[in-house]
Amino acid sequence: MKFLPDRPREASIDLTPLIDMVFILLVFFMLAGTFRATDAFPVTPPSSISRIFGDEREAVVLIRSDGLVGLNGRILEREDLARAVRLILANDASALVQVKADAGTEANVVIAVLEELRDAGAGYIVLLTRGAGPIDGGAPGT
Amino acid sequence: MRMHARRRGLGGELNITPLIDMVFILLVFFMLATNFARFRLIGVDSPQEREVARTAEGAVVIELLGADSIRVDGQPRPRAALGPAVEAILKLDPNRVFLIRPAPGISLQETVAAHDEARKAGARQLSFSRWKETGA
Repeated sequence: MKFLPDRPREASIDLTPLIDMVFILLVFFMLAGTFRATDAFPVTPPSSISRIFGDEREAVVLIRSDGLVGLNGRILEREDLARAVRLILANDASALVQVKADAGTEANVVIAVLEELRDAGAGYIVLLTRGAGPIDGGAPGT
Repeated sequence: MRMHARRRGLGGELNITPLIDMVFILLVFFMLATNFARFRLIGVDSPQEREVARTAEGAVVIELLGADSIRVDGQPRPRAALGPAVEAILKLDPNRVFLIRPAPGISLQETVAAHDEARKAGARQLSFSRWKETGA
């Protein structure tokens, strides 16, 4: 009982470095990352050695290996795809349409979708691929 | 002076616990919601390429028939000969347009690989085209 008053008054850990680090991490994630709607279904794009890099933009057309199509996180009927893309292009005529197709999809199915997009009025169409080289060997979480 | 010292000593500190809680929640949110994926892009269609494809009467058609057989301008070749064949054609005409035409059953990966190889061989104007039975 005699020892009780001798307990140190301030036994707390200094939290300042922790808060500093957490703030730095927060700012990093806020600035370095990009927000995107999650894909409607998982797709593994083919790998290529293209030297043009880019992120996903406003219009991402998904094609699964069995031919299922989606646009920006929504599954669509094949017939509705052109109409949905036309709607995006009506708001932004210079929108870049990106096609993210599974590597195992039959190529003619993808080319048919590309032709549909072109007929819908898409000015610029690009195919999204993963890196094949050691610089970025695949994109996890996509 | 004495009063000031006493006030500080008795713990007039700001309580930052709620701040830390919020910052942690924000941090976790941004860590989970952000996306760092970067892609490599292959331009498959642009107004310029469309013009090229429309006017390309003499485009060289590269047909992908199977895992190890292709046809370049109607000539059957092994798959490995794609690069050299494209190079040989470009030596004669550096602005030649190439159309890659995969047969039914050929996957997108194989088509993209052929595109890569033709580009590596120096082809600048490349386009994809749907399979036509009569096309050669």
